[in-house]
Amino acid sequence: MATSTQARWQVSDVTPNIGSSIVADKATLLSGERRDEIRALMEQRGVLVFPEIGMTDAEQIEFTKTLGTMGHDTGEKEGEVYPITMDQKINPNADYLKGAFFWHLDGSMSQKPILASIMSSRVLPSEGGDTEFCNTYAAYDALDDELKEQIDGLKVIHAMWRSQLYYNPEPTYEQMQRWQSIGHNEIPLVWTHRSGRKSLVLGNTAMQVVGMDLPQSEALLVRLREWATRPEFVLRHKWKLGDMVIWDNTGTLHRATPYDHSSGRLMHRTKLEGEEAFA
Amino acid sequence: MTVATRVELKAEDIKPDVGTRILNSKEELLSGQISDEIRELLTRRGVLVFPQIDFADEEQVAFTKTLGNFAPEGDHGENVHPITLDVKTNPSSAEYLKGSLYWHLDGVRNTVPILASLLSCRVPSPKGTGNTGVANTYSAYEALPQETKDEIEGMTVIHAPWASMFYYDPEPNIDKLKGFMGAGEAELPLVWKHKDGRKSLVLGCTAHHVVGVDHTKSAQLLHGLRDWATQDRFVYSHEWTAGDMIIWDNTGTLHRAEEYDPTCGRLMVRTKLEGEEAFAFE
Repeated sequence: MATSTQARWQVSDVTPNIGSSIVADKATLLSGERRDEIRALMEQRGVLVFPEIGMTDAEQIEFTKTLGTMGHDTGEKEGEVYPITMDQKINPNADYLKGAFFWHLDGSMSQKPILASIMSSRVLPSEGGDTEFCNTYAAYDALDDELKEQIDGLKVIHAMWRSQLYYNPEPTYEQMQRWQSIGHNEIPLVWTHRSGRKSLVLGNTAMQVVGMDLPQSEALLVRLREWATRPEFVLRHKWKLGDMVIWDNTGTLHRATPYDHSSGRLMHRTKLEGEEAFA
Repeated sequence: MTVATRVELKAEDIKPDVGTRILNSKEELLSGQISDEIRELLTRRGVLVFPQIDFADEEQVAFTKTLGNFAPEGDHGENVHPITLDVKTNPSSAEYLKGSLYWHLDGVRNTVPILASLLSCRVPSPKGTGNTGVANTYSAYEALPQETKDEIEGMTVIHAPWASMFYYDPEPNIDKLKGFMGAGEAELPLVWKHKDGRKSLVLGCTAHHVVGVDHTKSAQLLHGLRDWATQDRFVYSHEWTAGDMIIWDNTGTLHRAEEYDPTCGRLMVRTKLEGEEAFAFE
C-alpha cells in the first residue's frame, strides 16, 4: 500500500544531548511503518515528543503496540491506559506517585525494567507539572575516565521504600511495613546494554552502593545524580494539551516538577514491556 | 528587714505520661528556692510549661542559671538566642532550622548533649501552627513490651546531621551534602541508661541506621520506635501565646516545631543548660 501523500514526518533535535521532536500525522504513526526508526531514535535521543498529536486512548494503545509488547504493572489493568493523577478518586494509589517528583526510572525493583513509557496530557495545571528527563547514556559517556573506572562493576541496593521517604520522611511503622513489603533489588550502577552502550542507573530508590561505607555511598550517589541531571543532559517538557511523549526508560531518569495537587492534572500512560535485563 | 517566706512549688500535670504546668510567679522562680524541685520534675515529666511568665531576656538568663550551668550559644554569649525562619533576623540558621520540623534531640554529635532548652515566645505564629511538640522518651521506653526492650538492648545507632538533611532536601547537590557531612557522625546507644538508672530512647531525624543490622530491619526499628515514642500519649504539643516559656529535658525527650508560615514573623528566644551526663550504654 502506498503511503499517503499527506504523510508528514519531520524530526528535529530539542537539545543537543536529549530529546527529538517529531511532527507526524496520526496515520503514519499508527501504521507502524516508522516503527524501527522511532525505536532507534528513542534509544539515541532518550525522549521523543509528538507535539499536540491529540491521540485518543485507543489510538495511544494502538500506537504503543506498533512499537513492542504493551506492558502493565501489578494493579494496572491489562490493555488500558493508566491514569497519572494526584486525584485519589481517579487513582486510589495516588500517594505512591508522590515519589515521582524526584528523579527516578521505572522498574528499579524488577530485573527487567520497562523499555519505555508513552504519556499523553489530558488535563493540565495552570502552572508547574512539567516533566523533566535526563539522558543517562550521555551523562555516563561524559564522565571522566577516572570516575568511570571507579564506578565500574559497582552494584547498588534499590528499595522502593527509600523513595517514599523522600516525601514522607516520618512514616508510621505500618506505613513502613507496607512499603517494605515490596522488597529491594541489587542492580548495577552502570548498565551495559546489549548494544554495548552504557547508562547510569540512579534515582530515588537507590539506597546503598554495595560494599561501600554509608557516607561514601551516599556522596557517590548524590554526586552522580547531580552530574546526570546537569542542564546539558536534561530536557524539561512543558506540556501542551494533546502532547504525547515517549521516553526510553532504560537510558533516562525522569521526574515531575511540582504542581497544585488539586489542579486535576491528568496524564494517560502506556508502557512497553522490558526487553533487556539490568546487566 | 522581713524574713522571706519559703516559696512553695505550684504545679499541675498536663497528661499522665508527659508535661507539667508550673504556676509560680516570676519572682518565686527567680528566687531559686524551688530550683531543685523544678529540675526533678523536668527529668520526670519531660517538659515544663510556664504560661505567660513573660520573662525579659535577662530574667530568662538569670532563671536558667538557677537550674544549672548556662550554655552559651554562637555569638550570643550569656544572652538569649533568637530563633526564627526569617532570613533577615537570622540568616545563617534558617537552613538548619528546617530540620527542626522533624522529631529530634539536640547535641547528638557531642559526648555530653545539653541537659535542657528553655524556649520563650516573643511573637507567636497564627494559632494552630508553630506549636512545639515534646515527646517523653523515658515514658515511651518504659511502656515498651518487654520483648522489644530485650531486642533493642545494647543496640547502637549512627547519628548524623546529614541524615536529617534528607528529610527536607532529599535531592541535595554534592557540595551541600559534603558541607553537612563535615559536621561528622556519632555512634550512640539506642537506649540511654542514665546515671539514676532510668532509661530513655535516643531517636530522631539524625538517626541514620542501627549498627550491624540490615537496612530493612534498621528502618523498621528507627521508624517504628519513633512512631511509638511520638504517639499522642507521650506527646505534649504547646500552642504558644506571647510570654509563654517551656523547658524540656533534652536527654529524655524528642522535640520538634510544627509547621508554620516562615514569613509570619514567629520569634522565639532560647537559652540552654549545659549537659551533665554523657550518652551511656551501661
